[in-house]
Amino acid sequence: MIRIIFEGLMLGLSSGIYCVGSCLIFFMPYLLVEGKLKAYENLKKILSFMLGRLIAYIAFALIIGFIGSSYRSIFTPLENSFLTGFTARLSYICLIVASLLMLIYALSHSFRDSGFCPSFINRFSLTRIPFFLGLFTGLNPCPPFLVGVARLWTLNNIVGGVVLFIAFFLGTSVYMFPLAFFSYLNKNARIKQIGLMVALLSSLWFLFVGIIGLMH
Amino acid sequence: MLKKPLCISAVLFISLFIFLSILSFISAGHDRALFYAKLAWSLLVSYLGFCIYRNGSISKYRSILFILIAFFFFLEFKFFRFISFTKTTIPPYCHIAQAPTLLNFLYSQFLAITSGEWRVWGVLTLGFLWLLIIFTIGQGICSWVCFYGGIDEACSKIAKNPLIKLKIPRLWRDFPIAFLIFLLSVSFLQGLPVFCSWFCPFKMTEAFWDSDAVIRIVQAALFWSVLAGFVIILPILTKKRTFCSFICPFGALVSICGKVSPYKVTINKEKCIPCGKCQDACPVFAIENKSSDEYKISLFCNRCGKCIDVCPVDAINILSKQTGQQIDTRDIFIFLSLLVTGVISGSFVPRVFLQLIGLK
Repeated sequence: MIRIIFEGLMLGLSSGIYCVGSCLIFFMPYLLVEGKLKAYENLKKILSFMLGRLIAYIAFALIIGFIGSSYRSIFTPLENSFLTGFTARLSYICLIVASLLMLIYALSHSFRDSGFCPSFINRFSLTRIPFFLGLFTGLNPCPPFLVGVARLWTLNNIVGGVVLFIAFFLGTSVYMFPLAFFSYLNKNARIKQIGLMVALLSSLWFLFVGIIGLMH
Repeated sequence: MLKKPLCISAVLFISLFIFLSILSFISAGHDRALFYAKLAWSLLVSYLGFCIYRNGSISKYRSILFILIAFFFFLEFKFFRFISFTKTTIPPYCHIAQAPTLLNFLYSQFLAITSGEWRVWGVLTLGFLWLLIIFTIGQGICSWVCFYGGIDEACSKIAKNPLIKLKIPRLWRDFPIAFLIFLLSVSFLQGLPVFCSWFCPFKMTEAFWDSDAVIRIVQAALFWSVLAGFVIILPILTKKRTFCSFICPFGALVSICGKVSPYKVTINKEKCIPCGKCQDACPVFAIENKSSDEYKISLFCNRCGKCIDVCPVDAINILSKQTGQQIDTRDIFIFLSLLVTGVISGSFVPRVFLQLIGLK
């Protein structure tokens, strides 16, 4: 078990920059727009985002760990490749959901003053956004996550899988805390507008990436 | 317009020519034909500098040089296969591609340091050369040196008057910064030059096209819309450099880094009669309304000198940030810009010229 913890932690620490990069493109625009000037006030948002990621990891580790430990030995290579494909598809679906969430968020901010469907817009401007962003970006098809999935698949152990992903989460989380200082940039409305544009661009891009990924 | 006396213009012309000639001599090596071609190009650059000083009109002569460089650049590096040059040269490092992949470069620098593979540094050294230029002439690089900018500048010169008067909200002028942040993150994440593959309207290579048919259609659609819309049609209709204003990620990077440059275009409030001519003339939407009767130069100013030329009361000038003195600051900036332009363009224009006349 210690070996699994160590593996997960090292994977998280060594590839955490990529992990932050994958999440940053979704979370950074949010922080630019919604972040407060004091770093500790942003911690709540970051923790909420990280909680979303943790739940996503645990749920994913439980499902894949369960399938891996119960059926892997009796699966034919074809079924194995189907499950690998399913995992990839699931991560692309999550990418699409995260992109849509970000797109709606960006659009709702852009049309906030226009009186366009206010109740709908206000619902999407709630503080729950970071949690859901964390939940869906957690299962991003980024290289470190896919390495974790490959290791998880060979573990044949549900608890081991969960421990691996918790350790991976802790390793990558080290890189998340500096995000609290991002909001120092949003001293004026201009930066917030730039943040919204980044959100719009990245959501459209990853929506496209997700759709193309699903098509293949 | 601030004209210089003949003797001062001549001194500046000779100094510039001497500098460029020495560099031509060093870079041409034993190739005599190339040396003479470089010398001729240095003479032309210096002569255009003389015209700027003597006539006091920055934008007109800068524009001639800028468009000429772009013409030669595209002839050599983009259309060589149609003209069938016998020998192609190595293109100058693409600075536009450098901006959105800056994080990738920094990461490869890190890998080079940790692995001891010093040869990887070559590309990065060129990157630092561009950064050095940014730190000296700042955003001036976009209006003096950039061999891509001359294309939309040339298109913006086609119509005599703007067919459409484009008024854009300040929000859209900030789009390149958002685009740069997006590209930096996505390029780093995917380990690919996303801008080159998807958005660059200047690529004339098939290397970036994806093998998948659907993706290739989207790539082609983006390529043609940016090329036709922002590099050709909009500049012709509006007489503005729309690619540089709304798309170019390098322009966005330069506008941020260029703040450290000692040169800055400023409006003298006491002299200014808020006629708005500078705002209409600015090709990159860099003059903003501070209030109804006051204008301000934004960080996107390219130091092209057009506002200086059109100002009826000479209220706009290039100042040194440190001293705020007008004396010679503008002349130093023009001299430096011409020197950098002469050096960068001198690395490919003379060779193209020799190839055109069949000497290479």
